[in-house]
Amino acid sequence: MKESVQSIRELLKQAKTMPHGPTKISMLKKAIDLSDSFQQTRLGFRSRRYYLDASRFGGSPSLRFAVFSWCLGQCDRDPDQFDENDLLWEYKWMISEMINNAEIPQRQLFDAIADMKKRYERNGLSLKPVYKLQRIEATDRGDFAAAKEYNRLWQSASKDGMNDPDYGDRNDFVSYLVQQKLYEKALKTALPILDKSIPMDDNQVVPHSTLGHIVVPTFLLKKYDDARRYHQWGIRLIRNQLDYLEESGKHLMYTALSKNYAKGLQIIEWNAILYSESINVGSRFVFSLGAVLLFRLMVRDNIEKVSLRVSKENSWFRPDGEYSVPDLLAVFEEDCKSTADAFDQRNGSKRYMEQYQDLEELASLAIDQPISYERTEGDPSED
Amino acid sequence: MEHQFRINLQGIIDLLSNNLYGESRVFIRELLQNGVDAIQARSQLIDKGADGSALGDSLRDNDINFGHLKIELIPGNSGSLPVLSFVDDGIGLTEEEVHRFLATIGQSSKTSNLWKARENFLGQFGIGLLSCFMVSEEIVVITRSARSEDAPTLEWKGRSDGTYKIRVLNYSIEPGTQVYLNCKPGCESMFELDELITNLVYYGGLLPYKIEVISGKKRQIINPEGIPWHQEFPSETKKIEYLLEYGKKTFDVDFIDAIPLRSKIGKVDGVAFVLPYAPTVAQNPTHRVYLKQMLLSEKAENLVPNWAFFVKCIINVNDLRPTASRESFYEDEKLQKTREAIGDNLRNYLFHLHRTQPDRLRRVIQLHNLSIKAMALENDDCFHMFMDLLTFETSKGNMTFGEYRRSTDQIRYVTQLDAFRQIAPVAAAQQIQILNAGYVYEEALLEKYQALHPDDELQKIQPSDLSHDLEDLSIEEREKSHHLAQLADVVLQPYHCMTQIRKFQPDDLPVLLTIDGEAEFRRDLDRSKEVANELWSSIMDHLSPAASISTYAQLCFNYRNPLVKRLISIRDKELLRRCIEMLYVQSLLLGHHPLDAKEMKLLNRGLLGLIEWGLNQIPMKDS
Repeated sequence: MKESVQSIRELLKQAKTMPHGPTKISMLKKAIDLSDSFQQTRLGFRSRRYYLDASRFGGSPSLRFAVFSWCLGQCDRDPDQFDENDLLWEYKWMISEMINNAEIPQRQLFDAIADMKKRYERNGLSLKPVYKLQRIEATDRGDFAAAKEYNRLWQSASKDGMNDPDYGDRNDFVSYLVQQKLYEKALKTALPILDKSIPMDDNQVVPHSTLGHIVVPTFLLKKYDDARRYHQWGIRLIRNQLDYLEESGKHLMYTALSKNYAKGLQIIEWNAILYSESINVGSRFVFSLGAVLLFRLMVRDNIEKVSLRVSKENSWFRPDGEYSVPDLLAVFEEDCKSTADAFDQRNGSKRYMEQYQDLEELASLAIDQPISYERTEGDPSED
Repeated sequence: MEHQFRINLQGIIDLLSNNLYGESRVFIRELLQNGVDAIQARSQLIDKGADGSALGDSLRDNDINFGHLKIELIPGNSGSLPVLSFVDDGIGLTEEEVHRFLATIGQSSKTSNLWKARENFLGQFGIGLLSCFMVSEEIVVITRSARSEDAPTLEWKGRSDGTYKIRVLNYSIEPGTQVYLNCKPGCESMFELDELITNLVYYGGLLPYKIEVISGKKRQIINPEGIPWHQEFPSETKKIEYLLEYGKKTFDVDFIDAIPLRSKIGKVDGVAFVLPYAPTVAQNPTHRVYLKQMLLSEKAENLVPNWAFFVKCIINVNDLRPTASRESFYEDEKLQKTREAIGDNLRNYLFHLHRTQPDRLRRVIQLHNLSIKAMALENDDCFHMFMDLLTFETSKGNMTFGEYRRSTDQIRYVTQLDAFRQIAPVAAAQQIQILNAGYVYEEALLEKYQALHPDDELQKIQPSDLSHDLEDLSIEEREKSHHLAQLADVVLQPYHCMTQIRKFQPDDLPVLLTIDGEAEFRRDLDRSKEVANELWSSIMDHLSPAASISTYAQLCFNYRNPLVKRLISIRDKELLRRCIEMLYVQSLLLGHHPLDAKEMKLLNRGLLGLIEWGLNQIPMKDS
């Protein structure tokens, strides 16, 4: 038994020294299984905490829910040994993932948010993170009145250690404004992130995500040079990185609107595997929106066939690499509509289908804006 | 109203000795450091003159021969404790500098504008001299500045209670500084000659200036050879032999090879010794690092790439900033580039071996498989070079990836160690080759291989895929064993386990349990649900995969196994049920699958049931 406990500790120690990625995640899963096999609850808790941390980008969301709920259950069973405070940061991620997972019914989502709120309250924490998640949830199902109220509460709540960093809050606020189509205001809000006047530590979210939020709104405001700059900057940041499917989808939409079809196809190629494997349905939806817009505009411009290099994991893979654009359009339309349907059913609203329908209006705004791939002067990514 | 802190010097000394300086011998390092800095400052004075004035020219003639450090141990007479003198012929101090640098905590002569080129100096923290109070109640410094010919000789006497005195001596010494330390009771070992020499070699063995120890008539230069890897050798072989000997002397390890290191960025050079044993990934490799030839740390961590855990290095750094703890360097771009350059050195060494000594490379790879795997994953060139040479566990025993690849049309692999252990003997007996990618980096390496070789067939298999290849029963055998299959299904259904009876080798394996991805996920969910509260339990209900064959584990009975044959002949249903339950639980335990509460109960009930059944076979002798 002593040896087994030692081997779990060794495994955790090994995993700790490794960079985040599939190997680390599978090692930590192994540590969880071994801890359970030898009924080492404390080590099981520790392994799961590490697992949650390592699997934020790249782990199976469903397994993350299972792991999180086990930890939370242990805190409830034995609060002297396991402090729920350790899980309250992760709770934010969990709610966020639930919003993006149409399989979780709305009732359970609301109950989980209420449970999170209760735990924040009893630990004497500010409810600011809760209000932000509620705002995101309400926006997601298109209830902008409720979102506005949560936003008011979020703005008036105090900050504490559980609060997201300022740049993260600002980035989420930009997204909130964009979803209300308050584009000018969104750009203004994004500015301190873009000119780097707001302190930012080394992170993988901002400005990557921010550039995704604003690239299409900037285009729609006819600030074509800025939009091009944000696209080039953003794509450089997320290219060859995992887990930027949503951002890639927004850039894909930009390439469609600006009729940079070749670039759009490249983005499809880069993300094809991620798209076929991602369990983050919300991100898949955004990507499919971009793909539908791209292929729809290509069809209208009488482009019938394209060559694509994608792996065979994609259901629409063709060994000869030659693809019919109308067929591709049909594949992505089907994906997009079925996802929209699943979310709308869960949310009891029409918000997702409306986003799909909005593509038609967007398509009418497309205009040739070729991208020059020389670095533009003043590109902040040069810094 | 402003107030000033009062500083308790003794308290600070205690603080330093207990925290910043891990051990009292660091006073040697600090004294060496001051001496070296003083000599370098004098060189600069001659080269440029202070602040670029013409002073340098006038001093040059008198300053042609300096750059020595002399350490003398004066034994105590008739019960008194020994004294250590530490003499350098460096720049010395003026009276104003004495006041400023020797009597102000936190002030370092190297941070002033005096010499500007701060990066040339070893010391950065301005508290070095204080460390001497760890071994001496009083520090006496006698100094004469080299900046002017008529500079006076000054004496500074500082005590650990925070008081100091300065006076001008009425005699003249050569420019430089002499430090005298009276041994503090309890610190005698630091003033013993052998210990002193050991410590001087430890810290200053690579320093560029002659360091001489004197004790009575005995004189010894402690750094006669300078930096080992800078020396001239008639051949590369001789150089490696010499370096290996140096490695052995330094670490008492018989390394298997020595790799010279060099990076222009960070002005780094040194030697990496290839370890003769394989350390684990978790053992953070530490290296001996010198900063401008003065020992900085035995445990420097972030200078060598993480994947290089097959080497132990001795490195001299000239242009990187150490952190205050002196165990690592500031993580900046320069450090990153230096690390990359060191990584290139190590890779080039392996490439060189590949070209010139493939057998030797094979030995290195066998020993340091894990480290090389990490490297191959990180770097495409390494991947192309080493992937075929890396050793993997397969159902046919250990073999290199190249050997495996050439021996099969299709590369089939499993990604879980336990799954591999369960199915490897069965696969081997069936002449099916399976590769175990359950160890660190292996799955990622195979994925990388597939990405780089899209035409090769790689198949990640689930354990249950194997059961398709197992031999079916004949109609007669099927009929004969039908009752076992039927009962097994009923018994194991509540545990989400399906059963089948097939024929496979090895014969001594009664059952083969396979749990694939979805089935495993369902087990994970069930385990979490046992602990989760009502809300989260209901959330997980919505995540449970829809009941289908893929969510079931599969227990395959081996018709060829003698025990299974006996089971087929049993007609006692209760006994048969117990046996099935126990075979199931045992196969779970063998596969390191955590038991859930129901299975735990099954184990206990099954054991007790079998004991009871066994006892019932023995007739009771007395009632």
